[in-house]
This record gives sequence, structure tokens and C-alpha cells, in this order.
Amino acid sequence: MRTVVVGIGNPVLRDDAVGVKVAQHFEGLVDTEILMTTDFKVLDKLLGYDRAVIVDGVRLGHAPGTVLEFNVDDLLFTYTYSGTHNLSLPTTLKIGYELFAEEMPREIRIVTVEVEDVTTFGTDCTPAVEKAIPEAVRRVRHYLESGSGK
Amino acid sequence: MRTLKKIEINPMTRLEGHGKIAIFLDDQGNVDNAFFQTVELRGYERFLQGMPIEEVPRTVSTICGVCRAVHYTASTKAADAVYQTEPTPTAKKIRELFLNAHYVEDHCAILYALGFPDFVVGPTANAAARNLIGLVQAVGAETGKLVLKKRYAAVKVIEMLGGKPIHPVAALPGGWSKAVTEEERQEILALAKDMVELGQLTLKVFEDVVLKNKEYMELVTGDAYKVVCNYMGTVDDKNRVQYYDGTQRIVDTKGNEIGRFTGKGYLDYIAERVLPWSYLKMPYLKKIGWKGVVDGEGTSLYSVGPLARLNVADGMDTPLAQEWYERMYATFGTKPVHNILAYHWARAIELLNAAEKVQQLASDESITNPDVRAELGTPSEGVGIIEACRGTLIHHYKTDDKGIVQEANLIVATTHNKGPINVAVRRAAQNFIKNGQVDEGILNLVEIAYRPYDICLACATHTLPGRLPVEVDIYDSKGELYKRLRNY
Repeated sequence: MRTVVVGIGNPVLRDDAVGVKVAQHFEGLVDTEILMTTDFKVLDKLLGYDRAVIVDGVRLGHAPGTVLEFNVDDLLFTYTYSGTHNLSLPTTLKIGYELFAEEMPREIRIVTVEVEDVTTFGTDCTPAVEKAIPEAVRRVRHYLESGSGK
Repeated sequence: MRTLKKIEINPMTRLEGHGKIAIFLDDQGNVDNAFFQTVELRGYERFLQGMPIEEVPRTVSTICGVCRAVHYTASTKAADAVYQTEPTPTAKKIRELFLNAHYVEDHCAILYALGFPDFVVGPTANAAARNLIGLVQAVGAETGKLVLKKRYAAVKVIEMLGGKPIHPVAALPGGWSKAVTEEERQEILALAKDMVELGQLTLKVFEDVVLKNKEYMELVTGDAYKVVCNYMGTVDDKNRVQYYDGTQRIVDTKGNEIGRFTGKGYLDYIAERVLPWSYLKMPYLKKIGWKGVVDGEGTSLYSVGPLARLNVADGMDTPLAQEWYERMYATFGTKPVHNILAYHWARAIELLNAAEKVQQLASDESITNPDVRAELGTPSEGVGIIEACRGTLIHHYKTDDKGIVQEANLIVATTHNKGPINVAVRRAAQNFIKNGQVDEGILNLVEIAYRPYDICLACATHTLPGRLPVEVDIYDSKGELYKRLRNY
């Protein structure tokens, strides 16, 4: 089963890098990709894989460092589609399934980490988010090893 | 004293994505004024201080996940100047090919994801349908699939030349780290065919959807979305549109040349005005002097980007794009064109032009020459100017004699366009808000006014949901909030 772990975030903006840092734990184990945006480039990295894990920082109002997991359908029903310069991840994934149903991963798991500071320059995450990285890594590993995508 | 009501369109997002629109109504409920506010890139400018100049291009490429090649290329050109060197002819060709491939990818994404939905699905359609998904449903899945497949040809070229997915690493002061092999050249040539087809298809979609639609053409050519200002863009020695290198040309509202500059010459032409209501300084043409946030003959505001580039030029440097250039100006019957929805048309023409340029550059066997590095001098100060997809991009660095950055100044397209965007938003608001009647449709009608400029606010970082929320707050004549509209 072809698997890819995609980390999304800006590597120099503290907690925004959390998705990147989690994905980097899987380098050499499965294919990994790093992205800074959620536009069509997400599809470039997903097409042709059987399953994918996307790791990203979020602001959903939870305590910083909170790790959550979603399926694609959870996101599609959560957000409307709008923007001035970019596409949202739900929109991009929906487009992918509408246009490339045969080439999109049959399963996508989205692992999120609640961020605290995404406006300060720096390569270290805030303590709460840094502390959450092992948990996010564990969730991804668990999915890859024993999840429904096995 | 006259009482003003206040409407705020307040996108709450993150670094560099922090923007806000406030619209003020008078007692009759008509628009008195409107302001567009953004946060500038000072964070990155500070972050670069103390950094070796060689590291800067790779670092600034993280400014924007969408504009991945443009900050990188402008910064690399500035690094050339810092080291008092010129890249070799081969390195210049590689960089130009790289930038043109980026244009194909970027213009495609912006047109199909953000520009076309307003026309294809309709400007007043429900927000849930007025998007890329609605667009695909309108033009058909096969067309959508074809567009994305052909767009991927550009992505492959960017990644092949850049040396790393997403954020490139191959450029060096004075050149490029790796020569192009003959095998790669042949591959790029094959991919360029797809890109040219993408450009032609995109203009066909624009023709079918917009040009053949009387109602939409009235919107495109009408006064609701019109900003009369000066224009700036890069041209070659025949005054043809250029992206990687050339001379900055500035023309006035009638198309008369105001001036030309390269490098540090920007300081002679561009001044910045501090405005009490804005986070961002507003650039204006120094030789005209500050005239306020107003358009029309004599204004000192200027615009950059696709339409501005075509307005300052005498034509395109590739045959297919030239045909469309002539057709666009024949349609409007005037030049410069001040109708801002023509930005989308100009963007589509540039997409085709960039694709043809990729084809031309890849057809040149000398691009595989091994001379990709030039000798470096002693580092000091340098300016790099390119045309980013959304307009003129200036990177200016001062270093010590070891090449450590002491000062950095970045002027991005959205900053240049700040004044015209304000005028556009105000005009749209004045056209569509009457007698205090405001509904959710106003959100999109105002968005249409700034979307042509493809403002880059939310690009320095992102977090889910990865979009720019827009909020409209409506205040009554006593200044109290009585209605709030959101697109999220």
C-alpha cells in the first residue's frame, strides 16, 4: 500500500511548523512531503497514493497542543469555500475527489495540533505545542501501523 | 455634524494575512468612504538582519507558499548585486525559465480558483457555489481535470530546476548551482507543449464565459470596477512585457511615459506616505507628489500586476500572446485600460506568454551550457527587481563586507497596489451599497473589487482552514453594531 505523510506549515514561524516537524519523523519510513499551502499543491503530492496522512496546525479554540484527528468528510462539512489568494484544504481535497477519484488516496487521515503562536519568527514551537509533537507522531504511527488503512 | 455609519469587512487571519476593510456610511446610508488596511512585511525584514546573504533567498522563499519562486528570484538577483556580479548568460536563461514556469502555475491557480468563479458561476451566486467547485460543475469535470493536469507540467519544471519541491534551493549569487542536462531540456520542452495548450485553453474559457456574455462584458468594461491611475511594469528594449529582467517603465493615466529606472533607481521614483488609518505605508510616485487616495488624471497612485504590465508595454514577446494582447486593447478601444476586471484577462494572456517563453527557452540548446556560475566581488549593497505574478517585487539589502545582512527592504505588489485597491473598494461600495441596504452579496461585490489585484495577505503562513475569513460589521448612525455578516 503506497502511503504518504504530508506536513503543512511555514518552517520559520514557530507553531506553524508543527505539521512539518511531525511529518519529518517519518522520513525514510514512508514517503513524506512538506507543503506551505493548502492549494493545488496538495493534490500534486497526494495523487497516486493509496492512503495519506496530512498533519497541520489549527486554530479551533482548544488548548494549545491539543491533538485531534479528522477524516475528510469532517472537514468538508465544517467550512465554506472562500478566499482571496489561496484554497482551503477541504476545498482542495473535494476538488481532488471530484476530478481524480481514481488517483486520490482511498483514505486520508488529518492529524491536527492546536497552535498558540504563528506570528513570531523562529524554528522552535511554543512549549505546549513542542510537547504535543510526540503525541501527534504517535497518532500518525498508530494509524499507519494499525489504523483502518492498514 | 454629519453622522457616519460604519461597515467593517474584517479578515481575521495571521501574519501578513492581517487585513481589514472598513466602509463608512452617511446618514442616508450611502457610502462616504472606505479603507483597506494590511500589515506589511516588516517581520521578515527584521528576521533577515544578521543572516548571511547566501541564506536569504532560501529564507524569503518561505514568505509565501503560493509565490514560492518570486521572492526567491528577486532575492537572488539582489544577492547578485550585493556581490557586484552578473549571472552568466546560461544562468540567466535557467532563472528566466524557472520564473516563467512559476507564472504558468501561479496564474493558472489564481484564475481558476479565484478569478473565474465570479464569472462562470456568477458574481451574485451563493458563496457555497461561487468557487472552484462551482466552476468545475459549470465547465465540466473533464475540462477541470485537463487544466489541473496541464498545470502540473509547470510544477514539474519548477521542481526540476529548483532542486527541491515547494521551496527551491538551486540559485546562488552569480548563477545557479546545477546546469541543465540535455535530457532535462528535452523533458522541459515536452512539458512546455502542455503549458502552451493550458494557456490557449484558459483564454478559450475566458472567451466562452466572459467575452461572449453581454452582461459580464458590461461588468468588465463598465465604471463600477474602474480605477484610473498610473502604471508600472518591466519591459525589454522593445517595450515588451518582461518578468525576470529589464527596465521598470512608468506611464501616466493617458499612457505617456513618466520615467524608467533599474535597481536603486526605485528610490527616485517611489515614495511612501504614512497614513493614520493604515498599518501600511502607501506608495506613490515621487515625481508627481502626494495627491491623496484618489484616482483620475494627475493622481500619484500607481498600479502593478498583469494589467499594469500590459498597459506600460507595447506588446508581448511571443506570437500567440501578442494576438490576444492586440485583441484585448481592440476590445476596450483605449490604452491604458483602467477597468480592473481586465486584470483577469491580462493574467490569462500572461499565462500563455509565460508558457511560450518556457518553450522558447527550452528550445535553445545553449541552456545546457555548463557555465552557470560567475565570479563574486566584495559584498556591500544590492537591489533585485522582478515582476512577481501579482506585480513588481523589490528586494533591497545592505550587508557588511562579510556578506551579513545589516538592512533589508522589501516592497511587494500588494504594497504598490495599496492606493488603487482602496479606490477600487470604495468605488464598488459606493456602487452597490445604497440607502443602507446591505446583504451578504456585498461581501462578494467588494471582494470582486480587490480580487483582480490578487492581494497577497494570507500567504506568509497558514493554518487550517487556510483561507481568508471576511467579516462585515454594520454600525447604525449611533455607531452601534446592529448586523454582522461573515463568509465563514
